[in-house]
Amino acid sequence: MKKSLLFMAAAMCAAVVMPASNALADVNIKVVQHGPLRVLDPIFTSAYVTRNHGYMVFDTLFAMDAAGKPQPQMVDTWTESPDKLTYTFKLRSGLKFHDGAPVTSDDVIASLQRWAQRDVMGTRLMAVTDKLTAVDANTFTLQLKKPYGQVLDTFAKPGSPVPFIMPKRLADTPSSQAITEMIGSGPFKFVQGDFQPGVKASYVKFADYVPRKEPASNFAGAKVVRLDRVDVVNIADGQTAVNALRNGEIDFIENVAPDLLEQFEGVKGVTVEPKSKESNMYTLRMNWLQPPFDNVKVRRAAMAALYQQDYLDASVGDPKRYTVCGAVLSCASPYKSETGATQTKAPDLARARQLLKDSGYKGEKVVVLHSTDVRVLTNIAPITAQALRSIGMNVDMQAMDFTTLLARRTKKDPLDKGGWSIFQSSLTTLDLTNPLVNPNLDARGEAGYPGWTKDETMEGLKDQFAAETDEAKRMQIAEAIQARAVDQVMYVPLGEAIEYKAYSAKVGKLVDAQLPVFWSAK
Amino acid sequence: MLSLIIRRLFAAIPVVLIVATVVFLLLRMAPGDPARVIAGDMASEETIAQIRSNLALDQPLIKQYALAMGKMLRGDLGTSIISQQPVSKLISARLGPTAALACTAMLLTILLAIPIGVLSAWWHRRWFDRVATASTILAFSVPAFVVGYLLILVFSVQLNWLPVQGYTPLADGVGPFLYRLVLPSLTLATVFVALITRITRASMLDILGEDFVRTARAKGVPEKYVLFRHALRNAAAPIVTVIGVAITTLISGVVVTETIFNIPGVGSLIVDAVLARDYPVVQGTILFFSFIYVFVNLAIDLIYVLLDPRIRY
Repeated sequence: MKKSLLFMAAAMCAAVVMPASNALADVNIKVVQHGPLRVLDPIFTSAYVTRNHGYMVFDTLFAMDAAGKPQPQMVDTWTESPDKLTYTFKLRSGLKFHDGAPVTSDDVIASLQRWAQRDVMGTRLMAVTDKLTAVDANTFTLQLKKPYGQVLDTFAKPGSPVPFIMPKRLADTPSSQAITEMIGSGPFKFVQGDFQPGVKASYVKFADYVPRKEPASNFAGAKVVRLDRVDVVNIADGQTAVNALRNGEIDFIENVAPDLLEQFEGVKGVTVEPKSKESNMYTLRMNWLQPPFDNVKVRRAAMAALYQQDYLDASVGDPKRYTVCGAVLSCASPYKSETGATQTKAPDLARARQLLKDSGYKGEKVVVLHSTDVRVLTNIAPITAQALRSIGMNVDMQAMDFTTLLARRTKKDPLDKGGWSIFQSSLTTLDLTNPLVNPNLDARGEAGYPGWTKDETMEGLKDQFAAETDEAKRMQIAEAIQARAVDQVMYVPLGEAIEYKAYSAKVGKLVDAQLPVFWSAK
Repeated sequence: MLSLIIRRLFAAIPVVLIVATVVFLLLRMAPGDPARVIAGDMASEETIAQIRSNLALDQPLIKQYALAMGKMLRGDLGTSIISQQPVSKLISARLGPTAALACTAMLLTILLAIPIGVLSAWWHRRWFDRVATASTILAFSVPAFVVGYLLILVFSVQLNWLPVQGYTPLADGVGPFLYRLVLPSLTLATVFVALITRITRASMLDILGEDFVRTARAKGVPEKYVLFRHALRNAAAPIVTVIGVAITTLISGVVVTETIFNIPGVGSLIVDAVLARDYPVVQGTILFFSFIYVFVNLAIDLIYVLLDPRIRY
């Protein structure tokens, strides 16, 4: 017993002075993303971390460039018939899946059909589609019932779920079941045997990937991979991730908390920079089904009391790291407009109180849901509660974890039976830039996104936007959408927090994209 | 002794069943919907309902309970709702890091706490005793995460002697394995060293005042034999009891240390599962912990028999 104890003590001392093992010598970079990866199927779930995983493994027919325009990716050439009803797409030659099988039109069609079952833009497109037909192995046609201006934007949709292309044998899986076999045609292969849900996911360079010739631009252009392997590891604690990057134990952090950024000042070999045109927009949504926010005048009064800078100062702090923006489609959108936004300027509380008085508000309780375990949301609800109280509203802020909030916000019941009045959220601007996918502009009422905003005018505007093929007219429709959304207070943008990534020199110069993708800038 | 073991194992069965039932009910009563977690924030209600149906989460509670208990009795802990992997596979993948952390922390605790406690009692009220007592008070007062961050700041960030985070399996070498466990073990062990030091000291002080110790000294027995062969052996019962409690507390308390040092253990598995409402993983992990507690308590009782021949069950 004594000898074994002494041996252990000696071994521990030796371990302290021994250098670290080279057991991980094959790993090129270690990456920490904003959350743990558990579900692999990027069509089955809209979780952002699964979407990021999807961009490693899969490819898309079209992709958004840095200007927010769809560019061909897997597609080589395409034509649109003069009556705008028939699109013919020819795939690039040499496209292969990771199992060596060639990418064919049948794979594309099956993938699009599976994806469309889960996606709002996909559903819209399929609703106006007469048929999707494979002409030959590399060519397929899309036959529309009527002209539709969003075909290429739909195929290039960057937000969850992304129209990733997978083998037909996998895409034939019902969309209500998750695929666990990860075979794509993207620039990285998934190392299935190394996957530990919530702990680690590994990707190796796909040697047979054929990048495009155009310069890399956001998700479009050439996807040239200069890394051999990317290990995505989960580090739950932000401080630990920062310390690990400073110590050289990891190489990339997707999203560094604002209060931790200054720890990189003066640290050699670590670059900190904002993500390209990508922010987190804080949003506030009111429940249209229950008083008091079933009254548009009360909604307008409440919005008049809110001030974006308060939210951003509470959640981000440094003004260099946030953007005040009143656009319902976000300032990253090519269709952005800030018409009518009031919360970008310091509020006139006297006016807000008067609006509330004029609305007929009689002191009804306002339940504000407060998420306490999501870092970006923790400080948001208290700002709302205080702002509304300052104009005389009767506010009850209720704290809960985010999973509970997700369940609670589906309740349409009155407040005294577990209902709610306001919830706040944080969405990447990728998911907000197009009115057809922005969940906060869902105006289908009780069939739609919680908040259950119902406005036929808005739905009509969205239909017009989808059908419009002229870019300038589409911009006018987007302006009208902005104006209507503000007038009816469909939701309140609370400002955009610029996200910062940090990485070591080993990572090299990656493409400046809205998400963490690991192909090079050149 | 064999009959004790068999009796205890049989007695564990109703305990585990009760734990499984209570956990099942508590999880279902807690707000939150795993189907919604899987589908993501922007999924439609139809999608979520479909997922719920596929996972049998829309079945009556009694039916879900019967399914879960039936599987458990067949040794099947179920499948993770979120990752679709067998719960037993998830637990076994995470068991190594937690066991390694718990064992090294407990070993460190015993190696430090018992000698310090014995010496504190022997040098009662002298400077060593006073320093040790003050140190244990400090160790109780500082939360584990503060200790962890301080150790990281000094030994990793400033001195760059030890890594900030991560776990290397034993299969990759004893050196690297222990290299990554030094700081997490120290962090976890701090409060237990304090606890067991104080228990050891108190128990030794009691025993050192006994007549048989005075007799041994009067007979000229060397002091080290008095302390470690006579006094410590007789003082061991309460120390072993507290060590047993500490082991069970330590296993359930590793989650903070696992989070700080990014060790992919069972503690972080269960926290993630609770937040995601991954019912099978939570149930399976808690059941697993229940078995650990049963076995640890049994082991402690058996050790009593070895320490004190007067004890018979």
